[in-house]
Amino acid sequence: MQLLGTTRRSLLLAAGVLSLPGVAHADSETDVSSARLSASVERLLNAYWARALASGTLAERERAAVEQMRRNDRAHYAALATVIGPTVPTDDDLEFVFAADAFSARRDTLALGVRLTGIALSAHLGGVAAVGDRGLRSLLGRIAAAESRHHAALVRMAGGNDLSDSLPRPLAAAEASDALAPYLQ
Amino acid sequence: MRRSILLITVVAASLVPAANAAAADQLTVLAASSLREVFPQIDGAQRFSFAGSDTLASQVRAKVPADVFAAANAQLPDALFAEGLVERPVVFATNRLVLLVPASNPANLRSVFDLRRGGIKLIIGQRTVPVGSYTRTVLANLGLTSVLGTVVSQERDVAALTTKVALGEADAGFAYATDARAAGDKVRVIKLPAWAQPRVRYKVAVLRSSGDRAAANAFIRKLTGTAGRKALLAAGFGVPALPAKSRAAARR
Repeated sequence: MQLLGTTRRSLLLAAGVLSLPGVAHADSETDVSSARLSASVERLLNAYWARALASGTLAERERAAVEQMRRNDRAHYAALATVIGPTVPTDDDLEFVFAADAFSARRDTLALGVRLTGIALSAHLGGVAAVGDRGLRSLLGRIAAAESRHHAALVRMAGGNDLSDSLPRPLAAAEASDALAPYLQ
Repeated sequence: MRRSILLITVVAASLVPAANAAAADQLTVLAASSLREVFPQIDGAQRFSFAGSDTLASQVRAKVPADVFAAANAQLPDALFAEGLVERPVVFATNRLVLLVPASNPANLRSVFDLRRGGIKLIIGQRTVPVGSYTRTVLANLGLTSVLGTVVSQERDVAALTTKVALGEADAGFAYATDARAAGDKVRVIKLPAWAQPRVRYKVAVLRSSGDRAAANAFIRKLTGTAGRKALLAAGFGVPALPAKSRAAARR
């Protein structure tokens, strides 16, 4: 499967999604796979943000932060969708599973957010390590950087220490799939 | 004795027209192999012919006498519609791909990514049959097409594939989640990551050559109605979302 044909590459470069023109991708199948995984993670996060906002468990200032993070993740998904094309996973392809009490109290809502953004960060980092296309690697790196800020924000809201992880661990596709399995079916 | 023989003759004679009428009313439904368990539950009165969807599509093109075509994908019915051979197809079910292993799991597979180990005897569907096409899609989505090198057999339909896995003729095979249910405890299921799943959509259409298009359309209404959806869900299929109007009606 060709990830980035000439036309799409030109389009992406023009759109600023890719910043490195003329770079060959070493393994396009792995690239597509990594992009699909990251896009699905972004849909899961979007579903989480929606449920968190609807739960009524967050303070007003926290809600504003969550709304911003949701907008960021939607932008990540849109960028990945442009890369993947029409076969990008959508909400119709995925089932988001949250425990019945996952949003019953502020503490529960934030704990789940910390968990999911942590998995997302590691999944995106795994993509950075796996993909051959430098443009896609750059995009996944930028998404991982933003996700790291989301994770830190939620850790802080939950009263934790967001500076404790000096080297967040990348997850290979198999590991990320296992970590996501309870939430993404 | 003579009265008994006469009575049997009279009863038998009275049944013949009824039987003929039943046969004449019976629709011939060409259906994907993966529907072999659930379709007779939804409407046991019809005559079903189960096979790979591509084979059935060829039969439609060859003008085999039939009334309804139900495929395990959208492409084949859509193509037949474009050719003017069927009425507009509708989605009636969804499915998921899984990795089946024999109950004894001789290769000790725990994840689809274990297929990378090599030396695994893998069965898949032929490229032309939907399950084979979906398998290639899911392997590409997972970045695992290299495992196609370990394929020992390519099957014409998913029923044959499932049987071979159940009999231990392979270490693993890609099939639908519903086939795993049908095979019972003879197989184990390894779920595939949701993010790599292909869009498995079943479409059904009435053949334009059907001798009774009204009855064929009634069959499709039954399939997509409340009872049909319940039976499909009970068999492990998914069903498409109802239009808003239908949802409101269902709530009333």
